[in-house]
Amino acid sequence: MLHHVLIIDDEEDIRKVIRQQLSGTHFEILEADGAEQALQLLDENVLTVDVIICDVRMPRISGVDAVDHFRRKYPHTPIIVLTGFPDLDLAVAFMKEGVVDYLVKPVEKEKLVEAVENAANRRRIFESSSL
Amino acid sequence: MQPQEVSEKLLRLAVHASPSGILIVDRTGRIVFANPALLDMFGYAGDELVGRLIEILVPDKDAEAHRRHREKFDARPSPRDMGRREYFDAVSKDGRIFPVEIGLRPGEFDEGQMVVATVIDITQRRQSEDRLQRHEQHLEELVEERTGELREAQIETESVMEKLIQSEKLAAIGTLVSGIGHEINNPLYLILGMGEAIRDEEDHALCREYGEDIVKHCRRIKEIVRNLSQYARPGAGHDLQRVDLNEATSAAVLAAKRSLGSDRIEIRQNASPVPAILAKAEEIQQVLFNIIRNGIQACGEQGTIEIETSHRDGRASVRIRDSGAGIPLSDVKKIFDPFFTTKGPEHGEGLGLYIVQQIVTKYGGIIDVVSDGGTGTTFSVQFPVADQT
Repeated sequence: MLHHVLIIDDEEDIRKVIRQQLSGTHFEILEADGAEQALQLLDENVLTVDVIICDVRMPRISGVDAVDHFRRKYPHTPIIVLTGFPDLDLAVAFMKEGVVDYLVKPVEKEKLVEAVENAANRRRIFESSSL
Repeated sequence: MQPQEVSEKLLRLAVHASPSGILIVDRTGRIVFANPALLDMFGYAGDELVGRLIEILVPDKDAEAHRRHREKFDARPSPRDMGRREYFDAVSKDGRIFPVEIGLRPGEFDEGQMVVATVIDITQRRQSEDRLQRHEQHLEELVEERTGELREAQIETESVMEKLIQSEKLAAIGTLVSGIGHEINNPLYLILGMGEAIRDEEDHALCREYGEDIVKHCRRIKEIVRNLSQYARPGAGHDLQRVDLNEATSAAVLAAKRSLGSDRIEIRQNASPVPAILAKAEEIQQVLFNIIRNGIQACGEQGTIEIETSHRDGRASVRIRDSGAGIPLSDVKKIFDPFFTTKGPEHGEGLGLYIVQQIVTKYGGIIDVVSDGGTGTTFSVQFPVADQT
């Protein structure tokens, strides 16, 4: 089954690596360079986006604010935070906020794929239970 | 009217009506006259005191000393004025001891040598003085107590400040470590990703491309580490040179203009002669370059940067004001934090102002920033001037 993954990171090279790590699997990738573009893509593809991967430090709207916004507007879309900050407090805060995973870069391909699959399954279970 | 013209009757009236006690004592110490005020003061009536030794008015404890003193006085009589603030204890008929002040005026009269004594009951004055003294003592105690409290408060404040500085240092280290983690983890992730891609890729050309990326990101990490270590070290004295802030400013402006290719921003320099400072010229240029570059970026499409040098109280200063968007109040405290940035990754790692602060502090300087969202930002950098010799 094809999963749609939205990658939000202001650094193009990082988006490229994430895309690469998820390539060759059953993921369809959407990319945004910040929260504004991500919201636009979500509005257009809300029914198809299965998982959001979001960076924390971004110009204009930070990952913290972006996650808060996504959780309120799209509460059933699982979010994975992927950041360079090895910060336990930040991780706990995000988990409390409802993100499904907090991954610290550098993350290996297998681990990222597993995390995205878990998140996508969560979405699927939720959808099937609400039908 | 002269005293000799005053009638005896009038003088008697004056003595009789005087509020002070008046006493006349002969050379044997016997009382020959006491006016009503004195009788009233000591609780005697009529002629009760006449013919009695003066020691009847002196408490027993002082009587013998008084007698000796009186004999000495008799041998060499001399006046003693009132108001000398000498107190004596006196005793009333009913045994009440009270303080008095005494003035003495010896003289030869028809009746022989006599001493006229003026006596004032100073009980109330003494009480007032005692009260005043107690009050002063109380005030002194209060001052002492308050001073002690202030001293303790100061010690406590110093201790809290020390802890605060320590915790600020720890917080700064925490921010630094977290920032370093973030900045290094990002390129590390890119290197990891490219490594995985090379592992899984068979196309040699693509592998080569990924290899190039790995080299690029390794260089990025190297640059971050170099920046951090270079500016954290204190300057070695023998490497320092005399730096003219105006020359350093001009060089920084030139570099900023070149690097940004900006001709939409007007840079005005108002250079006053300032004494040299002792530093590494390239580091001072970097300080000014970083601030000017930030100002240019803050101006966006167009704006003005005003740079002014001045000299006051042994310090040479540069003030750089931009007409840009300003820094929100919530960000002003963070701008010197390592890796704090409001700009995208293409504008660097957020080390610019951190480096500025490190360099300025290293040379004993002070950096100050004033900004209010929307009305531009002013950076002031001050350095101690070099010894003129």
